[in-house]
Amino acid sequence: MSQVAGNPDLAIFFGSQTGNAEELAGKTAKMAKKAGLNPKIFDMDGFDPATFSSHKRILIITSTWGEGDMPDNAEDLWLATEGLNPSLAGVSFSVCAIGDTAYDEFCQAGIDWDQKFVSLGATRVHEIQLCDVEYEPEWDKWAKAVIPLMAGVDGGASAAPSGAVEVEAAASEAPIAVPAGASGDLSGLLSGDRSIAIFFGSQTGNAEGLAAKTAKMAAAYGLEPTVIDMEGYDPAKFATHKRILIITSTWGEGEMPDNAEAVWTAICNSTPALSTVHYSVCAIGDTAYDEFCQAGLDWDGKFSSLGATSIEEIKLCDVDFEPPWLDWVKEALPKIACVDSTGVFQEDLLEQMRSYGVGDAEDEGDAGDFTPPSIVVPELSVTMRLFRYDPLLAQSGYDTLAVALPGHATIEDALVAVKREFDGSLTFRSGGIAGQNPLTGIKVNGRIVPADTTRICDLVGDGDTLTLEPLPGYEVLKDLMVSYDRFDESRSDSKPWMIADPRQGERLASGAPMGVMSSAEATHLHTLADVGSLQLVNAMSDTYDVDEAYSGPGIALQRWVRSQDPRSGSSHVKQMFELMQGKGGVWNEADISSIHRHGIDGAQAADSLYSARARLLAEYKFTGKPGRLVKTYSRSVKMSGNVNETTLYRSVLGPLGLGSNIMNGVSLRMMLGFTRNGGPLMRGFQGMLIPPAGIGKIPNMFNSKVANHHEVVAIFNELDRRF
Amino acid sequence: MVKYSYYPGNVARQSSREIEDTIHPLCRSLGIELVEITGYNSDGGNIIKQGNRELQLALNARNLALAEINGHDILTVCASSQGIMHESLDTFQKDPIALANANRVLEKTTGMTLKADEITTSHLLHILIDEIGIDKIKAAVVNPLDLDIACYYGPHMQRKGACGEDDPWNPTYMEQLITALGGQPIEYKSKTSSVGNPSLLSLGDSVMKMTARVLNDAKKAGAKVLVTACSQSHSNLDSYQGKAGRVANKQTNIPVVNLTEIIAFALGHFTDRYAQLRTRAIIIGS
Repeated sequence: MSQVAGNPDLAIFFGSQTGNAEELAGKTAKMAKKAGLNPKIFDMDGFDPATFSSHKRILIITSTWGEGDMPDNAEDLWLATEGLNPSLAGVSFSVCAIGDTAYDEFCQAGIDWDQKFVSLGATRVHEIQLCDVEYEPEWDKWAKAVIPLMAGVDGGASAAPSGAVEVEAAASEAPIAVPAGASGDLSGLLSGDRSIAIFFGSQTGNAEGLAAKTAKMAAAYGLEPTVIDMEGYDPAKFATHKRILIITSTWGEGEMPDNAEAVWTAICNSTPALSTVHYSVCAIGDTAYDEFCQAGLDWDGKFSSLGATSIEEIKLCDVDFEPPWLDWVKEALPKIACVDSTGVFQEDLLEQMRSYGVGDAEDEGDAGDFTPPSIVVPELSVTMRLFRYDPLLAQSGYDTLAVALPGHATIEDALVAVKREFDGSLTFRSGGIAGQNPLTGIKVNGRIVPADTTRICDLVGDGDTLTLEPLPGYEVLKDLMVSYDRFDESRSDSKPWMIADPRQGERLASGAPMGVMSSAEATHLHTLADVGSLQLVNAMSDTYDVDEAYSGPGIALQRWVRSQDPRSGSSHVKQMFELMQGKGGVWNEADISSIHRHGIDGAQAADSLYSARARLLAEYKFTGKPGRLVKTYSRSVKMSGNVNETTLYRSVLGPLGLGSNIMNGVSLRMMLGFTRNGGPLMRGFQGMLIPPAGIGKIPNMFNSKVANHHEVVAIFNELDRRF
Repeated sequence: MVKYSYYPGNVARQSSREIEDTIHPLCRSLGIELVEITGYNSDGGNIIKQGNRELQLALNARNLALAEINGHDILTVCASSQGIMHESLDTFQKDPIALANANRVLEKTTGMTLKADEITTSHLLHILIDEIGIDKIKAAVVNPLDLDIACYYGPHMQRKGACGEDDPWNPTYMEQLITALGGQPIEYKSKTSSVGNPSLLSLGDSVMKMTARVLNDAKKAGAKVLVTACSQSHSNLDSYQGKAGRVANKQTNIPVVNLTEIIAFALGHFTDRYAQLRTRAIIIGS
C-alpha cells in the first residue's frame, strides 16, 4: 500500500447513461482502496456543486450522450455548476471521458468538465483520458496513472460533506463506511474482515431467492455477503469462513435439493473441523411431509457435530416461508454480525448492533426496490476449445486453453478474458451491457445459446471441456463471428411487415385511430412469437446448415405469427401461406425434434412449425410429398394400428422415387440388409418379390391388425375423419 | 427378473426384424422380462402430429393406458419412440386439460382411462445403465466386442428427463455400455445430430447430407462400426449410406447395427451374425 498524504478521502463522480461510467467508478474505487485511499463514489445526480470544494481529490468519469450532451444524471449538476461557478482552488482532479469516435462530439461531456474545473481554479493532476467504445484498456491506463498521483496529493483534514448522495458499490466490493453514530467498540467490530457466506440449497429457487434477500439485509449490519450456490462446493472450504448462514429446502422424502446433494455427500465423507465457524440454518419445508425440513436439520446437526457454533437456533419454515424466514434473519444477522474479525462472538455489542442495523435491514426486507446481489458459483477449471478461422489465410482449426473461470461468468466473459489475456485477435460478437443481444449466438458443446447471458456453470462442470464454435448455418466471417446476411435476406423475402385489412377500431383521446385486439388474441400472438432470437432459432435446426434453400425455423416462425395475426389482411395471410408451403418453407425442415430440444425457444419454434404444417396440410389438401407422407402414414396406422412401410415407400416416393432407389443402390442394400446382418435370406427376397411393394427391405407386406384394432379406428374417427 | 411393458416401436417388427431377433435373448441374459403391450398401436412417429397433434396424443394415450393396465413401466428400443412417448407423457402430466381431452376420447372409444401419474417410459439404454448396472452387464459378457465403435443417439430422446440421468448434449451412456461390453467407444461430434429420418421419403438431398455428416464424422474419428439407438434412423444410416455418400461427396461406408444387436452379440447370442459383423468391419468396411 502506498503512502497517502493527509486525509485519504477520494471523491469519484460518475456521469452515466447506460451504466458504463458507473461500473468504471466502482472499479476505480477498488483500485484506490488498494492504494490506501478512502474512495467514495458520487452519483452526479442531485449533487450540490457548492460542495465540490470540500473535496481535495476528485476524479470524474463520465460518458457523453447524444450530440455531445451530458448524460441524464449529470445534466442538472452541469447547469448548476455553470450557474454557480464555485471556486475550486485547492482541489486536485482528473477526468476520464467515455465516448464514441463515430460521433463528431467525441467525449465532449468529459472535455467540458475538464475545462470547467480548470477554469474554476482546480489543479489537473493528470491529462484527461478520452476513451473510445472499447473503453476499458484506456480507462485502466488512466486509473493506474492517476491513483498514485492522487495518493500524493495532500488530502488535508476535512471529512466528506454531509448530504452527499452516496452510491453503494457491489456488496462484495463496497468500501465499508462506519457511521458517525457508531460507538467506538462497534466501530472496532465493524472494521477488519466482515465477510459472511450465505449458502443456498435450492430445488425450485425459493431458497436461492431468500439467500439473495438475506445478503441484501446483511449489508445493513456492516457485513460483506457472498451468496454461494452449494452446487460443486468443496466442503473443505467451509472452514475458511467465520460466518456462515445456510438456507435450504428439502426435496422428496427428506432429501437434499439437487444442487446440495454432492456437497452433502462430500461433507459426510470428509468431516472437516469447523470449530472457528459461527453459523445458523433456515430450513424450508412442507409440514404435509413426514420428513419436514429434514435437509436443514441435517445441515444443522452436521455443522454442530463438526464443532461449529450455532449463533441462532435453526428456523423451520412451512410453505408460507417468508414470515418465519424474516423472523430468523432479524435474529441471526445481528448476532452473526457481532462475530468479530478474529471469530469471537461479541455478545455485549449485540444490542448496539441491533440498533445499528435494524432500520436499514427492515427496509431491505421488503421486496419493493430490491436488487439481488450477484450469486457466486465456485470457480471452474475447464478446457476451452475455441474455433478459429482466419479469412485472409483461409485457415481454420481449434485453439485449446486450460483456464480457471468463475462459474457464474458468462460465455462472453470467458471470451473477453481470453481476448485480453491470451489473444487479442480473437473475434466474436459482444452483447454490451444492455441485456440479451440476439446476435451473440454461439454453439457451445452442441447447444445454441446467447453468449452474453449464458453462464458457464449452466453448461459444464469442473474439469469439463467447453467447445465454442460459430453458429451453424451462417457464413463465418472470422473465428466465432458469423454474418447474418442469410437470415436478413430470408426475412426480407418473407415480407414480415404488417399489411392489414381495414378493421374495427377505436379513437384515442387525440382523435387518432387505433386498432383494437382482444387480450386473448394479443396474448396468443405474444406467446407464439416469444423467442429471444430468431437468428438463434434458425441455427437450432440440424437442416439449416445443409440446405441452402431453407429459410429456417426462425423465419418460418415469423411467417406463421404474421399469418395468425388477426390484423393481417386476407391477401397477406395467403402470401404467408404460400411462402411457408413453397421452396425453402416449413417443409424443408427435415427433423423438427432437432429444434425442439433447444430449450424453451426451441420448443416454441417447434410447436409453431407443427401448427404451421397442420394448417398448410388443410389449406393445400395434403398435396406434394410431405402431404402424401402424412396422409399415407396416418391411413396405414388407421388401417392396421401400425405403420405399413411398404405402402409408405410406394405412395410417397412414387415410381420415379423407387426407380431412383434402385439406381442409387438403396434398394439393393435394403434387400441384402438381412443377409448382411445375418438374418434369414428369405426376408430379403420377400421385400423384392411380393407386390405391390417397392423393391426393398420390407418383410411384412401387409400388416396384420393389432388387437382391438377397432379402438384405433374409433380414435381416428373421433378426432380426424380425413384419414 | 425386472419386468417392463415392451413397446417395439414402428419398425422392430417390420423392416428391422433384427431388433426383434436380438432384444429378447439379451433381456433374458440380463434378467429383464418383457411383457407384451397387447394391442399397442403406432406412436405416430411425429408424422401424424404434423396433421393433427391431438390425434397423435390420443394414440399415445392408448398405449400408455394399456401399459398402466399391464402394471409395468415401458421399455422401448427406439430413440424416436422414446422421445415421442416421453413428450406425450410429459404433456399429460403437466397439462391437465390435454389429459382430460385425451381421456374423453379414450373413454368413448376404448373404455380406458389414463392416469399418467406413476408410469414411466425409458429406452433400453437407460434401463441398462440406470437400473441393471454396468457391473452386471460386464459380468454377462461372453464375446467381448474388441471393435472401435461409434455410438449414435440422434436428437429425439436427447432431452432432459427423456434420457435417464445421461447428459442430453454430451451423452455417454452408450459409450459406457460399449466399454462394458469389451469394445472401444469412439468419440465424434455429431452423435446427437439428426439424420432427418422423419423426412427420409419426402426430402431429398438435405436428408442425405445430414446422414452423410454423421457417418463421415464417425469414420473420420476412426470408428469401424456405428451403433444406433434409434431404429428409425438406422434406415438412413444403413440402407441409404451409399446414396448419402454420393450426394454429399463424403466417405460414408461403415457397418451400422442396432444397439440391441451389438449387446446380444457381446452376450453370446447369434455368434454367426457377430462373425459376419466383424468380417464386415475389419475386411469389407461397409
